[in-house]
Amino acid sequence: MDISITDYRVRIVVVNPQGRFDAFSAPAAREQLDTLFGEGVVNFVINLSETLFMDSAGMAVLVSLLKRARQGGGDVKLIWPEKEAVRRTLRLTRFDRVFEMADTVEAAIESFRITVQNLKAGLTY
Amino acid sequence: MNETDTIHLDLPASHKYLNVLSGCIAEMLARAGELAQPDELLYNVQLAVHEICTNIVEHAYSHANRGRIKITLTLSAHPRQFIVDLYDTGRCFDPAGVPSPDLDEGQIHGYGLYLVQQLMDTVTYDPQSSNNRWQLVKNL
Repeated sequence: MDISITDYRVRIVVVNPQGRFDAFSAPAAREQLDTLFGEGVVNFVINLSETLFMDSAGMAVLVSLLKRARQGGGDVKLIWPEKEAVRRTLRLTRFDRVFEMADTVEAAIESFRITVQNLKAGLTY
Repeated sequence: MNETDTIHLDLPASHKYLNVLSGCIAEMLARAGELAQPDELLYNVQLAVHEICTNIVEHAYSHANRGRIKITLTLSAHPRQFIVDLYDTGRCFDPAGVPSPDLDEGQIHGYGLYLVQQLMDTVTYDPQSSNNRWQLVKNL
């Protein structure tokens, strides 16, 4: 009897930039994300719910992450910030169209799970 | 508010002092009297000024170890405006050389000036060989 076993495991990392995500904090964030890439992680949830301020340097970290993740076959999903001003910045720059947005971390993880299920079923996008 | 108030700051051109400027903007706007959507207004001004300072640190002073940014915050009564003048002695900058970001694709650079132009009512840049000046104006 031949037995074929396929084991699907998807690693998803949740990153929580709290407070200011700006030119001062961006280099450290980029360094941490580089480390995760080095470990083979390509699926990220960036939880912006407690991000109080985000500038173009923080946004650059997110876009860079997105491009690298998708090149590696993964994706980056953003959690909407609670602070309305930060939400508005995401809409102004159309990040809410470039990235897949979710209201909660759980919903973002679930959307990764659905993607994997669909891939297993042979569905493509 | 019946008169014009002015505050002068002289900060090291370093990312780590930018939140000092944000705090000063908040305290000054708190004294501006009644404002429509004060939280939104404050965030927009803080982010726009922050972006210009970052630009100065990373471009005007990219060749220098130490530089300074002189800032004048003006709360004008007539017309009701908040005006931020920023001066640096670094390299001149060519705003026209910065392409607008492709908002449909997402890109790594180019959002800074776009945000400043979207968030403020008037943005001007006057490059001088020894004293570049940005002026940002927000109508109150």
